Amino acid sequence: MIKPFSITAWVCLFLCLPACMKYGPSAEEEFDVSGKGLFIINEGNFMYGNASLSYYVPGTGKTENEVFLRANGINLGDVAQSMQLYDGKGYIVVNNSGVIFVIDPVTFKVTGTITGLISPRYIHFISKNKAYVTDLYAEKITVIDPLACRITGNIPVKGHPSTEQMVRYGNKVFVSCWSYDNMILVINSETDQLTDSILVASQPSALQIDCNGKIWCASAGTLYRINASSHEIEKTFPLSGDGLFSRLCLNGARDTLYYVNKSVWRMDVSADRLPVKPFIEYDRELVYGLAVDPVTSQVYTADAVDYVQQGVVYRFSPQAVPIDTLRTGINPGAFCFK
Amino acid sequence: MKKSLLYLTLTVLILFGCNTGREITIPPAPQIELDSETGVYTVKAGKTICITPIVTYAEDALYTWTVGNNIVSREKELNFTAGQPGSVYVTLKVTNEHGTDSEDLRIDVLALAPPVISLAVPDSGFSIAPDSLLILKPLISNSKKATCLWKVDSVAVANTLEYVFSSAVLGTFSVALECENEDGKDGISFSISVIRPIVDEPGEEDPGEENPDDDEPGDDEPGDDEPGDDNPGDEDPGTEDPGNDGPGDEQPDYFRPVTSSSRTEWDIIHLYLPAPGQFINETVTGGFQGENTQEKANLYAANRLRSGLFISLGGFGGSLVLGFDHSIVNDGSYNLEIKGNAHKNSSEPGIVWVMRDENGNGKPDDTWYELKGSEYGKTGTISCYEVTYYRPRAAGQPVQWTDNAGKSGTIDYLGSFHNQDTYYPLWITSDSYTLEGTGLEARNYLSTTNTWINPAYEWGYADNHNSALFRISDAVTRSGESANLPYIDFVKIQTGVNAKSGWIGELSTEICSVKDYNMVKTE
Repeated sequence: MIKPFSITAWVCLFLCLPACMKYGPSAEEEFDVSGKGLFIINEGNFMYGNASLSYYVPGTGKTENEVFLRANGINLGDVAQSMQLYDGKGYIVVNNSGVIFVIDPVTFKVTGTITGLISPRYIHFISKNKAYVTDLYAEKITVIDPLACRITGNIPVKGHPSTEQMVRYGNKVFVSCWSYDNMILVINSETDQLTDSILVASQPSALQIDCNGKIWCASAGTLYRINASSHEIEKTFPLSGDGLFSRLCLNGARDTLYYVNKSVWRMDVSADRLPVKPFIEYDRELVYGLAVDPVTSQVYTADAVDYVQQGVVYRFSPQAVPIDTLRTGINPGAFCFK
Repeated sequence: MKKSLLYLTLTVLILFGCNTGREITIPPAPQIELDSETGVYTVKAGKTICITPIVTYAEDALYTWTVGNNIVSREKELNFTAGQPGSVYVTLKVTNEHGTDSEDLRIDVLALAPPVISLAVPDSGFSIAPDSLLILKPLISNSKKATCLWKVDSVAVANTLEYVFSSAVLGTFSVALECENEDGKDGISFSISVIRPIVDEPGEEDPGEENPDDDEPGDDEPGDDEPGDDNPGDEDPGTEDPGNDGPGDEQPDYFRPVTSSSRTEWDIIHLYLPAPGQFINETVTGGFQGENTQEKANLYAANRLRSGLFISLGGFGGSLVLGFDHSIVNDGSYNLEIKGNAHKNSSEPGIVWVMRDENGNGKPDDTWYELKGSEYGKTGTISCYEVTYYRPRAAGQPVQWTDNAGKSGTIDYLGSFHNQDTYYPLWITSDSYTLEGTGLEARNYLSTTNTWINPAYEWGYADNHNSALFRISDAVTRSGESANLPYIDFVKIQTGVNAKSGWIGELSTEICSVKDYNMVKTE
């Protein structure tokens, strides 16, 4: 009901951007942050249009908040879901605004927008000219040309209205079907055809692929290890009681898996059982986001506090020693290393 | 493991590499296989568990079981007696001259789960008429493998979970229920008076005097005014502008005009008295820190609101009373701004009451007037609706309630979201308390997409989507006439619905800010 309006609103906004920005009330700030850094994607609150982007340079202790707004003079939109860097550009998927912003990761300036999406969640790059976009409310995966910023086609996924995360193995893309679903779809990235599906327990969300070609899938209270070439479920790791797997991450070498089940846990990808001791123990707070630096193996956890005030991100050493506390925007949920 | 094997093999190869022609057997290092596939063991507090791993190649091996830096055993098995609930991390190392194997394991110590009986019993026990049926339906947690026994005057009468009491004989009966399982037992006892019903005299419809003040525990303010239906001091207040003119001539008037130092926001929290709810006593999002007196609770509310954070009023009847450092004038338009955390499909309406400091003592001990909203006077709206909440008898239990319409229910315990011990305010010292106010008909429902919807009401309620402004001119007396208040000094906001929405829990009004909107208008 509100979504079509939002998309139209964004399109209108962008059509008039070049004309009115000079005179607009928000001054545009000049950023020039080359080198390593971390983007923190703050979801904001659903229907509030208060998503934001934070930028942190590890070791500086300084977090720049609202960098998207400050660099461009416009808001990021409603529910920023994820971000990927590819070929020198940052792609921010703004779920409830139905838009993907393309930014220069050094100046944070918008260099393009991809619109016409329903409720996009994640983007996965196949090549310079092809990427897949999953969607919360569309029975299709949208194929886009990231260079041209336009939709080039779609892959129908009938019966799966909520597609979520993606990983690739050779020319196969594995897609989790999340909301009220129980499937992982397999798509041939050359032909854009659906070729197979893997049945798992309810609501698979997070996907990772490790150094041995094994796919790790978090599906409610069960963690799966799936052989990416045979599509066979090799091992299931059930949690006891009301445990729930939420976030999954791999280190840079992709041989160590990190996951959230209330606490943060770490396990070797060759392990045949779940660890018995938490890596970072959480008792009451909810870990809203998790990331592992691919180079330093430092660990970041996000705390949404009460979902209303500014969130907090904690940085830990590779041995789980706390190092830093950052104040971010509202509901920090995703990270993107530069 | 693998590494040590490799080294061992290498060493052996180096040592015996040239020793051709001779057969060599290499004694391997130990290998541990735990008797739990997950490496996790569970045991109840106070009980003992025996962990017996299978270790191969264990001849002449040394066993060490460590917890933290302490060696707790050197035996082949670990006999572990559980203390307090929690997790204990144990490492087992088995070493022989050929190498070492090591495994981490965890012992989860579970709390005992004895039965806990909850039954909403009136303070002075039950009273029933001869031959009428009293259905006793307690909530019993951990009742699965429990045995229960009901006794009336020490005579066993039933071993069911529920019991129906009836007696043709007049008198007072002592009733007891005891439930027991392997972890422990719980018991309650109470009295049931079987008495002849008092026949009402005809014409005596309106029972007793009504007291519009809440039954507020810990608020024993002496000299509570007897609140009449209408205040004689309020004759024709609309003809004057209290902002310019002085007080009226008949009654003293304690009007406090806005000065240069007046604050737009409220000045004092007089009483924060929530109903039980998921945010009450909650430390993470609720921000409580074990407040156990009314003063500390008031201070909590003040600090939260000053920091721009929400406070929750809990379920039906929970309220916040606050005062301003000046009187707020009724100019016929909007005069109050109350912000909650409502958004589309999530409204938890609170009734707004206002009070004028008629006796000038700076305390909210005069008459409360309800600000009518869209539901005022509708059939589903109940005035003088009372709900009594009962303290749970153990941690992690729902809070039971009964109302003056003969209904009962619970404020559910939602442990996976808010796991504080109890949702019953810690600073309430009595085992039950009654809250009274205006009850609105609930509108919440479960949508076809399985989400709970708490729709908004048209106008006139706090924490209601798209309505944050209030008019003093909407104030009405108990009999429903316009109160014609020239100004007010105190505001009370009170949760107006007794309802719950599945896993979202009870509907509870949340407040983020309360302001004199007259001052906002002129800013």
